[in-house]
Amino acid sequence: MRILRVVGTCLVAAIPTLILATLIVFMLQRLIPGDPAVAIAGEYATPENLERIREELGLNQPLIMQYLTWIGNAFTGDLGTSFQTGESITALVMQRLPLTALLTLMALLVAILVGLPTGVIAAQKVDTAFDRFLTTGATFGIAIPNFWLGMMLIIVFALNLGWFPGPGGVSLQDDPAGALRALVLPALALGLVGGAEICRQVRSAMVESLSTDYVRTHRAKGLSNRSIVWKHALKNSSLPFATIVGLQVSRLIGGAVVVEAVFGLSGIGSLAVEATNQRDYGVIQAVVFVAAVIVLLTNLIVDVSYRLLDPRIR
Amino acid sequence: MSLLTVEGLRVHFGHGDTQVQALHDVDLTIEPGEIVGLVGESGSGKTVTSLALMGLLDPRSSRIEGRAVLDGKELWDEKGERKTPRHEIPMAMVFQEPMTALDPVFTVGYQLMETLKVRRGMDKRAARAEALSLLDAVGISDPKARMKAYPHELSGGMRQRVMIAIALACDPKLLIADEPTTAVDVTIQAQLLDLIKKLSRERGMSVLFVTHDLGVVSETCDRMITMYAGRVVERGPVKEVLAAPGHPYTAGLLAALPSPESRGGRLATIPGRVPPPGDVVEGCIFRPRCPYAQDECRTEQKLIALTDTREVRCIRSREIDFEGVAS
Ligand SMILES: Nc1ncnc2c1ncn2[C@@H]1O[C@H](COP(=O)(O)OP(=O)(O)O)[C@@H](O)[C@H]1O
Ligand code: SF4
Ligand SMILES: [Mg+2]
Repeated sequence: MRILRVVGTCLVAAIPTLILATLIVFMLQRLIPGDPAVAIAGEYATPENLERIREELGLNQPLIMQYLTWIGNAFTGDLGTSFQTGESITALVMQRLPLTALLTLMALLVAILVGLPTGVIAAQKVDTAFDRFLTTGATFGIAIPNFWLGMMLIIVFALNLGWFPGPGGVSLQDDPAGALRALVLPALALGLVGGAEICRQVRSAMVESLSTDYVRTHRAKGLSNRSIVWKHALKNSSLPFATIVGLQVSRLIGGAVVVEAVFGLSGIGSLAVEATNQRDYGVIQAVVFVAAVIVLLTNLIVDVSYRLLDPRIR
Repeated sequence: MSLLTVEGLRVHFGHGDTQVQALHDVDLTIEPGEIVGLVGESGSGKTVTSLALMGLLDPRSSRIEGRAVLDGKELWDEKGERKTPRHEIPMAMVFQEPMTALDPVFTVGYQLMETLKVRRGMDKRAARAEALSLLDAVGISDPKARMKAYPHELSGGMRQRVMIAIALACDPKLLIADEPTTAVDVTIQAQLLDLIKKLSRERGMSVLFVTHDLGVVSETCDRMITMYAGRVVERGPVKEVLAAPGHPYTAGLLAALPSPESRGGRLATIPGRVPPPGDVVEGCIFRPRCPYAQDECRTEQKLIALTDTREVRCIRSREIDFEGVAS
């Protein structure tokens, strides 16, 4: 039952961050120039009209009340209605979120599948040609912008080789299998850079683990190299690994906005772009809120895994 | 037949111009059941000798020459590459630093059991039972509970006992103990020494006991080897050597030993320090620090037999009466 206690501890520890993050998201809307009421009613609305809209939105209440109302609604699944279309924002988000979630997960998978093995192998071959090749590659990899990589992948694998569909026309709801296929290139565009970063972190963590006294003890015991590297050294490197994977999640969510634009995917990133163009405050706020909750959840998972992976952390 | 025979062991570190020689033709033998002390100040080459025998020196930065046979098995070939897989060699090692020598993220039980699986091909149940009995054998109370403990939950002395249990799990005929009691306090030190002696006696296990403390040697060992700057400078039965050292360096170490009367007072120490590998010393390696050095010491010294059982690397050994201690 250690796990329940650990999750409980981490949840409690996450509460202040949650309050702070949602406060920032909430204030963001107040800080964006322009009056939401004007944005809804139009430039030429009568004062009475504006007043009525403000009242409807609760904009004339004290800020703290507005925040409490908003957060209460948000956590019970009501993200408000879009100024532009009058639709439920929750419905809008739920329609777009699955695609982005899948894209981000696939990208994370790409990043880990690329970064973890290469990092572990490089650590065993420190200062050999292979290691230098990999570290140099990773250094360049980190510097590649998502959109450029995305376009290159489209040109080579979609347009020239035709292995994957080109940009646009993906619907997870109508054609899940096709969507999965169409998400391969975007996931690569989004995840490869993260893979380079994970590779570097894993390499340096593994180099350190492999030079410790306890690894020497394991060798003295006669454990196989495979067991020493992939079990003992890797588990001892899991804290830096969990940290970098956690960081990647926030990076991937940010990167999804760009990659969705490049590949014409209608996920939550492109929803944010559309909402910004239309000054649809409620939608922007909702998207940022969802992103913040995902990042906080990720941190929570990282935090819990720290405590489960390293018995010294209480 | 000796359990361990080492002939002409040399270790080089580094490559090309920066290469240095850390061990110079070290010979040693250990008989079954015998406890041999390997003594010398810090930097004498005791740990390098131990690690070389264990095959734990990094092959990327070191080179081994010479011959070593343990229990009839060649440890490495002419190129210095391991000949017999490590888990088939009946040798184990306990390290100096108990705080870092155990894996922090695995339980004591796990680390013991995995050793038993690799070394003795045990299945999980057999390994569990044997792990419990090993923890008991090294004097750990409530072994069942300790199996689930992580190293950081144990004291230094306890961890060293766990290290000894892990070493025993290898079913060694030779145990190399590299300053196993340096990092623990005096009472624990005495307990660990007794434990190692007892285990050696009960199991007929030979021990190469590495220490810089001649007091520990006189309490624990049958024979002793004094090392200096990567060379053996003296060897013989502990009682004889300590009663009348044959080499000025052994005599110096002995004089530096705190006697019961002088405890707490200042120790006599040998002025100077051990020359690191790569330092060039003409003639006898100990000459720069030797109070008895003369012209004849300018030639390189060989190990010469003093008696049937004693050897010493000092040309003046027979002329000088070094002060010993009665025991
Ligand atoms: N991996 C290494 N590379 C270079 N020099 C080393 C290495 N390991 C030990 N040495 C040197 O070899 C000498 C003997 O060291 P060591 O065997 O650790 O001495 P001690 O007798 O204190 O155990 C020291 O001068 C040390 O600096
Ligand atoms: S040979 Fe000479 S210098 Fe060397 S230890 Fe003997 S007396 Fe001292
Ligand atoms: Mg040492």
